Amino acid sequence: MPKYERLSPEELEVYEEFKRKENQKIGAVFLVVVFVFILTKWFLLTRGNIDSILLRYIGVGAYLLFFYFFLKNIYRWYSDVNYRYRANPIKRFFNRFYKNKLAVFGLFVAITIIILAVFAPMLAPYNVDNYQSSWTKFSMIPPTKRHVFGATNAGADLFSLCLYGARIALTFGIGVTAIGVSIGIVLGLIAGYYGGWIDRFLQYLNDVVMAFPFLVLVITVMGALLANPALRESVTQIGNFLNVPGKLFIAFVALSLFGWTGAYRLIRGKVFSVREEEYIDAAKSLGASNRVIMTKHILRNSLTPVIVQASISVGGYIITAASLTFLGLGANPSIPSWGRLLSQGNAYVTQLRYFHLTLFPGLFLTMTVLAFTTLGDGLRDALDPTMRRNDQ
Amino acid sequence: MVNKEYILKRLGLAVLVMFGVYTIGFTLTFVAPGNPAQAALGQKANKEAVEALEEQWGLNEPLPVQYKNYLINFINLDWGESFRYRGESVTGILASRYPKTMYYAVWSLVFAIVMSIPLGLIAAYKQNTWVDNLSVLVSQVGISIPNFWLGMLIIAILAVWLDLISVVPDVPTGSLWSFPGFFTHVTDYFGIIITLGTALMARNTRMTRSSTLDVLSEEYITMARAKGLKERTVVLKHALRNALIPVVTSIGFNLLLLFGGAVVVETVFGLNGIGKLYIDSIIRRDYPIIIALLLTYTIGVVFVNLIIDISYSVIDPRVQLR
Amino acid sequence: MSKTLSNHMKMKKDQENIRLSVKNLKKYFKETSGFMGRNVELVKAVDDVSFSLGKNETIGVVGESGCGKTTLGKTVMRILEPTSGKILLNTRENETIDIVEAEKEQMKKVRKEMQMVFQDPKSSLNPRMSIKDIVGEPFDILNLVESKKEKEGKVLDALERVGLKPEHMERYPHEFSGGQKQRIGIARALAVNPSILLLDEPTSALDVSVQAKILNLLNKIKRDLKLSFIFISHDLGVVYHMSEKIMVMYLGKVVEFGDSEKIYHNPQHPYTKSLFSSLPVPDPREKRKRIEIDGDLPSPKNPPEGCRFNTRCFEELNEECKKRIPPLREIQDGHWVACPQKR
Repeated sequence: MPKYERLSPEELEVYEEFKRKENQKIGAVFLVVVFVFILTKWFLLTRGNIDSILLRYIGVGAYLLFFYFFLKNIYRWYSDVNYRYRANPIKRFFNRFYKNKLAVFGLFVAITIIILAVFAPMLAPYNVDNYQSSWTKFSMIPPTKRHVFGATNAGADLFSLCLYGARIALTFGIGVTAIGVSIGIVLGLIAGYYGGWIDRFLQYLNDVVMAFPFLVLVITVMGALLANPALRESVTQIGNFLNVPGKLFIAFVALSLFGWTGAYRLIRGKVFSVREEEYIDAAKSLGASNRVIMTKHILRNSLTPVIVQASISVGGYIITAASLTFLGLGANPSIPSWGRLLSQGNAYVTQLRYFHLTLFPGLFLTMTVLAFTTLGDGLRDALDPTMRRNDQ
Repeated sequence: MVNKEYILKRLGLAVLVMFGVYTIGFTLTFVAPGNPAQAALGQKANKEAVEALEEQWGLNEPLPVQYKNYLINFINLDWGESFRYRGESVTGILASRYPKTMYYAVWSLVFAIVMSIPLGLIAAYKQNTWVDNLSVLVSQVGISIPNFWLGMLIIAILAVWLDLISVVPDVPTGSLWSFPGFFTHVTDYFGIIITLGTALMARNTRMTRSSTLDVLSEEYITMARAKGLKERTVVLKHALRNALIPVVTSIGFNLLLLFGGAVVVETVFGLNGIGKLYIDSIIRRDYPIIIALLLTYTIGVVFVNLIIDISYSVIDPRVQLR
Repeated sequence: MSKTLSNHMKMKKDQENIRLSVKNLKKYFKETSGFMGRNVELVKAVDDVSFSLGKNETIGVVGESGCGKTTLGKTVMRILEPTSGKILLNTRENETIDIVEAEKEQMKKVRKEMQMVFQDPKSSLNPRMSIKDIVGEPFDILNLVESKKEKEGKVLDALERVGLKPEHMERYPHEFSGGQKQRIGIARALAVNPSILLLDEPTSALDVSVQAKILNLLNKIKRDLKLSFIFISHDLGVVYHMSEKIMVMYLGKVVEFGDSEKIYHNPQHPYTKSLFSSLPVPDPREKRKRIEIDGDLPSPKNPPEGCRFNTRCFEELNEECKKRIPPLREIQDGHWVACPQKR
């Protein structure tokens, strides 16, 4: 098979040389980024000139440059494992992935949002903790040079709030997905592998949960948890223990409680089909235990659709969490979140001069969700080309 | 063709699922004592009055008894009175709210299907052209955009800025479902119809596109072309029917999405449909309404799914209902 | 020497030589249908099968698809749990283990003695594992090696034995042809150095040209390693070529069993006769009457009363054929038939 030809020693040498150079470039860019970042911060601190527009542009530019090299080289770091072959699976994965421009865009936005969320305290130009008293003179101002997104009715900088909002959104999106997928995988494996009454019971539970629209179910749980003092207290206690504000944690629990069905159904279906493969019998004839068969053989062959679905559902949970907050059921009002900002915007939606209150948090929210959706789609195409037959 | 035993089995399963929904709904409402009687009478009401009201509503009984009573009453179509709107029967409230939400749900479904099927078909047929790329982009954005934000954008842009649509239509529910009214009131609810329908449109476009792609690569299509059939006949007669099966079968699930969406979107548009009713009932702990909404809604979805499953076997003779 | 004594001696010798003896093995599947699984049907996939396998001997199991031969193989390997019966394995350390009753520790010994090669090389290798991991899996599961290095060496040995190259170790199953995949499957089975190999239609998924190579490889392995084979196939020619003994199965029952020469040249059971008559004859001058049997294989869910073959039998049926399930009878030395008309 020519596709898997080995590289000749000369080619290998050229390749190594190329890799070294690329890595040097990345290192240089990385240093520049760090340098610019430190310089910006230093400027801001010494001059008290908080919004130097030029430096902001330099920062964004350096980031874009860095990202470009990152995307270009990411697979080389992985492919070391297998670079002896011309077309290894990892290289093929990246080739397919990069063909899908929307997915690359999604990856870019997703990573950017994650960086913004993690470094929000450093990147936000204004403090968002005690804005209520200090910035009231800026109440509801439209976007200006100093406040690129304008300000809220309490006078807080909308841009800073949007950055902080990314934290809560990603915590919900990624956290709930992680919990849901873990529970779903375990239940799916159990149901698919053992079958019988366990399977029937889980299938029934799945049917019942699926009979509700997800948001309705979550709202109902939120209502119950908030209305019952004992329940609320106990969940808040756990939240406090984990250092999470009470109401926020309640919303998190409500979402996580039912987020398992998607992964459960995927894994269960996959187990049913993989179970019939002869390599499962082969493992059994070698005396493999159920645990080994489940993790090594079944799970390994079922993970692809779960990864794809997880990426897409991150976006879904971000929307659900924002909807909850929008309705006044989600995060505490004191915590900056996009849903909260949007519900404020909704109050002024009929006045066009306050449109920035609606536009910017919504843009952040939509772009984040879009990023994870397109990323998931790109992963689907790149990881499992048979899922979409016509895409070679 | 339609297997009687299968339908009975499905009905049995549907009853079981509804029982589960009732159990979850009951647990999540009655177990959480929001003290609705106190809330209904106000904080200053004396203890005797509150207790009397609780007795009237049956809240003083032990939980298992309440669980049983509610179920029996529900089956007997005796759905009691609302905790929040004193003196109004649950049946009456639902009867006034359901037609409204149904109205824009139906139109959203129409909007979604009318938009998505041609877009998906053309995109698949002209794969990797600008039409295809556009359809992929539209469907990705449509899926990702939160419906309440879309609603706010529509209000701000279409209603306030361009002044094309009205924001708060006050239409009596009766006229919505009359003959000319059903069509003339579309303009009044245009905003919410588009808002609700967009996510559905996006999903259906994707589905139509990918199922058409699959069908077009099947050998019987190659065969039909080889026979020398006109391209139009190939696509419309051979491909379309098979490509639409997944779209048709997901209508039940689509309705689910629409009603889930209505919960938030009705708040944005300030409409008093069942979505808004549900939120209000959750916040005010209006138990009879919560339970009645959950159950009526589930019954609807389960039956729509059953009907679609049966019609599926009519469309596709390979499907055997067992 | 009197006759009885020589018989006795022969039996004793046989006893010592036996690797595996299966006694009255049954595997029934329960199949439920109808509302809430009201109707329970019993599928007798393997019904009262007994045989024994000697040292360095091959038993060929033949029959149409659906006759239970694959189920028999999987039940003997205890991939499927037997319903009843005994499977006695004599290990190389002269220990006798009943596989049906064996506990976890004993099963480990069984796994080291007996391995299986599967029918479809495409699905018998995990697509996400490299060849090194696939062939090395037995060592991990049975804790046979101390170090990674040792494992690698043993994997290399196994690959070499089946004619694969060391550089194949890092590759994945989809990079190989069907014949190569089957070689990998054989290497995996040989990795633990078993004394019995159960081959479940090892060549039926392969091209004819590749089939011959694999069969030759198997014969060579058998000679070199002194193995015993249970060779399951629907292809009579292949089975005759490979085996010392042949077992013919029909609807979960053994209908004929004996030395392959005897069965090949002198088939007794009507079903066997019809099977052999369908074989192409190498000599064009020799005319053989083709026997065609009517109808399809009856459903194993409700097999016919009496002799299971009586719905398709071309010989005159008598009362007994319809009433009683005929037992396996030795009509000649080393030739058993389950037909009431043969005595």
